[in-house]
Amino acid sequence: MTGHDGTGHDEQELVRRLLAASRAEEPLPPDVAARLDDALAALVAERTVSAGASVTPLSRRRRRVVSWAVAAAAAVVVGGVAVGQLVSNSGEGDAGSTAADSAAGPSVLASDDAGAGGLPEAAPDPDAQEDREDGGGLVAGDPQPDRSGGATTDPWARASRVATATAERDLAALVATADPGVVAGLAAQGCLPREVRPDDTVVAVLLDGRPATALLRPAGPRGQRVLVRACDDERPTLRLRLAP
Amino acid sequence: MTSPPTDAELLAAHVAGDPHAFGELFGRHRDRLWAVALRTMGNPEDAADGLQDAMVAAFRRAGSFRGDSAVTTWLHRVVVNACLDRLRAAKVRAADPLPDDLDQRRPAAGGPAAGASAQPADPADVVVGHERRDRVLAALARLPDEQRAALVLVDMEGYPVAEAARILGCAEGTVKSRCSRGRSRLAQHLADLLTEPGNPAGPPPVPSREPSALPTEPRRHGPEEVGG
Repeated sequence: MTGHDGTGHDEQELVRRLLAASRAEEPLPPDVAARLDDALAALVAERTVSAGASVTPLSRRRRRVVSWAVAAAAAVVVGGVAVGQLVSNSGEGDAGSTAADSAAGPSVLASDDAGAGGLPEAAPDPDAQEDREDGGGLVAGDPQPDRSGGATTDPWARASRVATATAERDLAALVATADPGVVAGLAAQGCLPREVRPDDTVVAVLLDGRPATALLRPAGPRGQRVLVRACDDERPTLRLRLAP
Repeated sequence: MTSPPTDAELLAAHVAGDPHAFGELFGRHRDRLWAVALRTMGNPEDAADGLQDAMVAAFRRAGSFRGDSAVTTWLHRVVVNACLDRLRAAKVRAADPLPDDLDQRRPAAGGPAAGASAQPADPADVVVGHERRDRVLAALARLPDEQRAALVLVDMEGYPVAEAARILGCAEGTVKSRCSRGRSRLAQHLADLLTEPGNPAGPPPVPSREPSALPTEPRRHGPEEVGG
């Protein structure tokens, strides 16, 4: 027997043995495990936030035309809460999870046959919203913001401005006045960074005029770490440590 | 005493809103998923990115899982596809300016697996077969992505061809062809290793696993199942 390129069976078998001897035996490194745990906490927080949004059973197929913008706006109905509270607050029900996925989900394929790779921070996908509706699920309901919840439809409506050139000073001022009540809005806009941790304070900012999110790590003896990520950047745009 | 929930039960619980179910499910398999990501991407940094992409995708699209395959198959498929997506994207970006933190990254010259030949986590690996393993991984990095992915699943991770085909989303014959072509190319790159005395008595192919028993119940596969 020969391989496709005329390689003999013995040679194929030898290569197979070499490959088998080179398989990765190491467990997941602790730093990667910690990173995944952080990302998972952010996902759970994101979903839990949107789970609080008011949802309405989809009764008529014509509702499929609902735009992503409307659905996203509806998910902002929830009140602002700190991320830590969100993580410790268990899921609020089936309907909520659907709304959460609709609000925050990137491209999502409809079948397990189509298990394509992740696009974790991609723009919201209207098709994904429609996929859920096809399944007779729930979609975010009335897009009118619930003012009693204290949230706003635009996380950046009153956002502090941060300039790259003066970022340290701007962020120091931001820490003093941080209003963390924007998590839901950021999640709905797909701008809740994957780096968020349960004990972070999350603030919407305008970074050089671009919508962005600042993650304020808990202050420590060596200062306070701040990550700023513009919504259209895949990785944090700025990383700073503010002096204690 | 209640038995632990199955993978399918955990996934269903996650879809139903259980905030802890997905973490438990992913935690069960993440070492094995890491192994696949690491060998497919070739270096720990990119593997971590690929695995995180996959975890996020699986978390969000869990509701689309229809149960046509084992949950582990689906998870592996998401991981492999996330890694291949990253590899493709990296090729598109190949002409982009170098990143500012290039000096902090592990060497990546020579293809995606070049970084994997950097320091293994297990000191024992440094002693036993370090050089040969580095050679194999470097050669593996030179293969086309699809051939490498097939060889990682079948020859390194021990999946039966049928299972690898489901993970990769292609026909069994395609997996066999990719494996065979990949081995042939590796044989050219590793000719000196193949002629070393004692090689035929080297480590046996890794055992494959029944799809329903993944990842804890290994089963030896016959030659006809391995492909090529």
